[in-house]
Amino acid sequence: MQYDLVEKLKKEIAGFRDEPSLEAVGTVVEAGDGITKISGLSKAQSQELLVVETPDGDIFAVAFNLEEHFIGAVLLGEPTAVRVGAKVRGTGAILSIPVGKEMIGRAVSPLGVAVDGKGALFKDIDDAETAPLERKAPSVVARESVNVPLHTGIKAIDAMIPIGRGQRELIIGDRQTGKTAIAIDTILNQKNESNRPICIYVAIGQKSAKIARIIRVLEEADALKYTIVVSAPASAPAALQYLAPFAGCAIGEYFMDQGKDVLVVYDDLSKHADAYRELSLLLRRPPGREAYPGDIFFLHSRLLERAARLSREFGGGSLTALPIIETKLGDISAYVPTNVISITDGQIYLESDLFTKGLRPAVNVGLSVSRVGSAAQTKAIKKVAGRLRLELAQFRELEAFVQFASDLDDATKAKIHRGQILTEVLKQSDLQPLAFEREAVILFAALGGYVDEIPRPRIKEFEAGLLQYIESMQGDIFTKIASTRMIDDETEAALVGAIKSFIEVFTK
Amino acid sequence: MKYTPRIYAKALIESLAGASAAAHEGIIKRFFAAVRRRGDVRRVPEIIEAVRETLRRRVGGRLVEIAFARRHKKSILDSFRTLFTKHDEVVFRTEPELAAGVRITIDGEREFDQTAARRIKKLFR
Repeated sequence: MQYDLVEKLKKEIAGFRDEPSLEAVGTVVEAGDGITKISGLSKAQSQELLVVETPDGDIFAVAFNLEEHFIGAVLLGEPTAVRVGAKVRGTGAILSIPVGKEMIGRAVSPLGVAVDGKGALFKDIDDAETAPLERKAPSVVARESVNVPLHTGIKAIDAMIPIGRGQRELIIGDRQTGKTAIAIDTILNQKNESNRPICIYVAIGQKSAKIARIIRVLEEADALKYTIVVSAPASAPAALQYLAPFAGCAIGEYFMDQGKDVLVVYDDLSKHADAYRELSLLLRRPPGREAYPGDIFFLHSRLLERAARLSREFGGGSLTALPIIETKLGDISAYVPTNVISITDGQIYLESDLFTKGLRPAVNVGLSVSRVGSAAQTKAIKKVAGRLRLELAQFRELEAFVQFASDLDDATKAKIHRGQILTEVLKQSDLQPLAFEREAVILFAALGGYVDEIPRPRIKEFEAGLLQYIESMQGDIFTKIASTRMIDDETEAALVGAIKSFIEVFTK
Repeated sequence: MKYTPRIYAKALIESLAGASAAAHEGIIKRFFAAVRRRGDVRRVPEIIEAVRETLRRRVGGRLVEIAFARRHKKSILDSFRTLFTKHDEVVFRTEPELAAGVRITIDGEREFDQTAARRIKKLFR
């Protein structure tokens, strides 16, 4: 054993080449709070990876501010080890992380290091491909319009705010309104998809316990086998929280370039903006509105622009982005929320009031929109859910009159009743996403008026029973809708028959 | 707004350049009084370094720092000194942690490192 090691080392020494050369170096003149000021390295590029030599070993840093005489850099390692006078070397490389299919099913740090205790990601890190954290978004020529749906498994969203692959759909709402739940349900629902995307969940500034819980949920639901978790918890330095979404995006682009579909959840960009504000203030960049730096819009737009559906000539892959923004007291007109609303292709707005009323997911249908998703909506869902938004809007207008129901005319009463039924049907517990063919069947029954006579407290029971009944008695209905992605006349007749016969059984 | 050492250095050099030799002492005294008034006394070493750097650069000189692992004879040091121009400021250092070899740093920006310490580090990286 010892002999082998000695021989191996001798071979390495024999093959060692060290050509004399002039290297660019700098010196640390100031260090603190995860930030360092470096003199020298006048040829360094923005975002260049630097190496700070410390007594405890080398620490990486990223060049952020290139000033006349100094460089402001963000430390990516233990900042306490950096001393004034420490030598800094430029690497000439832009910050990149190792990427590969080995990452699937793993939790990694924003620097591409495994954090799940399951060992190293790559057999040999030198053989792993690398992806730059900052990359130009695909050009107009490389893109194609969004035309393939990304089912969330949530009836209210798939029916009224459909999301397409390559879209950027913002999930926005106050704390504790179910934003993460929607994202996690969407990841879980991909298990039901034939063309399953690779999912990447980027946790930015979240509690470590919450991240651990999410990993456990994904593992228990067998969804971790197609998911990568990029973890930058609240305890991580601001630099890592800032880099986390870019790392998630870089990993996603690696798979997109191979022609695969990818879903990236950024949970959440409010904390990302806060981390960037912290770094910018420490680097003494001028503060702007709400003390955010002037380029906070560009920060998020360049990240979200990297979501795309590539044309066939460019591999046909896609990267769907689901950024999350946490509002304060429902204020969507704050600086960062308005920025991200304007960047994305629509938003799912969650409301605390709806949540406390028991309407879950607490989606405010009036303020939620999907600007490009309807082109990608599955025909089966489109056919049944076309009237849903209109009927719910009519119900919201009349909702205030519910307490005077006895004085209303029959037509208004019917509209209110239908609205109440539809509201009940759209309620859905978290971690229970539905395959789109099942969503289509339930929405078909509800909008066709077949559920109108069912007492509201029994609607959930009716839904579960109906799906079970069709599965066991006429399972080919699901198979047909799933394969053709539409409800043709023949399937519709079979479906009506099945619903009617189930109602007879259910109401007996 | 705080004055940087480079601004102090520029102001001092330009004041001295436009005055007679007899007035130099008075200019320097008044300069340090101005530094004291602005609460920058602790930055005096940086200011002096900035003055030296500015004067060196004006004549096209560079700061050359040569580090060895141990002390060498004057003849060896002189042979190193001949590698540079008379405008370059050559400083010799002894750093035992280098183990062997020489490290030459120019203006704190470019480094020619042929020390055993660096080779060992590179070998085991």
